[in-house]
Amino acid sequence: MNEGTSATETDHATRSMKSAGGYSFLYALAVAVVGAIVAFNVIRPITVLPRITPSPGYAFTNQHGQISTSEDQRGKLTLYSFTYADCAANEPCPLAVDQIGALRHQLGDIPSDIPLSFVTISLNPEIDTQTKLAEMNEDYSGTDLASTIPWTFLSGDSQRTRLVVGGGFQVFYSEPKSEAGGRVDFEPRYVLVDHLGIIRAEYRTAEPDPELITRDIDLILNEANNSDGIARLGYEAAHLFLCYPR
Amino acid sequence: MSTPEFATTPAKRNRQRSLYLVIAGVIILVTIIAVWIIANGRLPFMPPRLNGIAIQSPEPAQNFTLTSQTGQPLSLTDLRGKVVLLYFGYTYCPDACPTTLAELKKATQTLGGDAEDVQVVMVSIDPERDTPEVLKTYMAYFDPSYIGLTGTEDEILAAATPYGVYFQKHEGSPATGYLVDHTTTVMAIDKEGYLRLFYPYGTAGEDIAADLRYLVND
Repeated sequence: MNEGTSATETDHATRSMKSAGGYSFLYALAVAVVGAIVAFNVIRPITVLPRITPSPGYAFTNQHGQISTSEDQRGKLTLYSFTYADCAANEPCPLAVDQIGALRHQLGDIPSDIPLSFVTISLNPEIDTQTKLAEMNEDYSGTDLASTIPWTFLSGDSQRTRLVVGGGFQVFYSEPKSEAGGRVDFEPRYVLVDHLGIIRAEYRTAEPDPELITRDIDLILNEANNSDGIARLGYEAAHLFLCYPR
Repeated sequence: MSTPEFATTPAKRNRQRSLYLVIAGVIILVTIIAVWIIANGRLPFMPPRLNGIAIQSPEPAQNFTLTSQTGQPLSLTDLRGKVVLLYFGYTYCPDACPTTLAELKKATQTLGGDAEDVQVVMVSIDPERDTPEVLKTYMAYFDPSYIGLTGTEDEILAAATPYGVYFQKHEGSPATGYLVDHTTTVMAIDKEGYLRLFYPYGTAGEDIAADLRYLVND
């Protein structure tokens, strides 16, 4: 009797273990799936910059009197900025040309094979004629603001500027105030656009950290250079799980 | 008296039932995952393999109202409920526009029945020559269901700029007349009106069709 009872208990125990094993498998599966998603978010094996929105299309005149378009920037990384020629002469000037030039100089360590270019769009297009743009395009070579990064100055008509800067880049700026010497009030903003014409980062300050911009440029380049084939799934997962830099 | 092996207690029967339920659950789960993989070509929780450039946190596509090929006004929001493939081109375009529209035609043909939930829209960036009548004839050459839109230059400029599209008129040859340089990207807007994907010039119709199938059934 004792032997029979013992055998039955053993049988029960075995079946219980099997049953428990079935549950364990399901739990393990669920934990593995949830764990993988959480781990991807926490560990962030891949970090990407968000694809924010398309950079607006434009066809403006540059400092050489030529038409320069948004398509000319395809295949390059572009750091857009916004100001006007007489900004420094008016107080307050949220972002002067020299400040943009200083940032361009600070980013001078970026390898020359990285196709980074600066584009500055005038917020006072009626006044900033080609001559004014050419003056803005000061030759910094030989100064402490020297840089090899290409820099284009653009001006269009008022309506198109409003569409592109106000509507597309969503930068606030006022009409020139004649009673204040033609001062234009605006918010300082830099916008990083990728090689496909998509806005990837915005810096809402007159003096962004060059290291931050360099990091963001590296993230875009890593994604562009490594997201082919199966690796692309990893990058798309990083976008899906919002693995953006902290 | 020893307890016969086949004699089961209620507790034991419950445990057995639980085990069978677990096994059945696992089989159902595996079957669901297998069906999902066959239907979607990917594992659940995996991001879709999209061929276009995806905007991960999409915003509502900028609305505009222009004149359709029937002469009636049409807003982008009127097309809610359909996946919209939006393109900016013109009927006198010698190369990029017919090539792109031919790929879009290939995409909608590949979709079969799902194509009913897709609407191809071309906004003319040459309003001077592209009247509604001209657009109607041109679009019908590719597919009569395709919509052509036109308007004033200012209206078209306001519609194109937020999508990253520029256009600029320049001289052509006596045979072509003036030409219009323009951005050749195609945009995919989902059924809820969110801008989801971009296709650079030259994307194959089959690749676009694969993404559309996902967007239509999303």
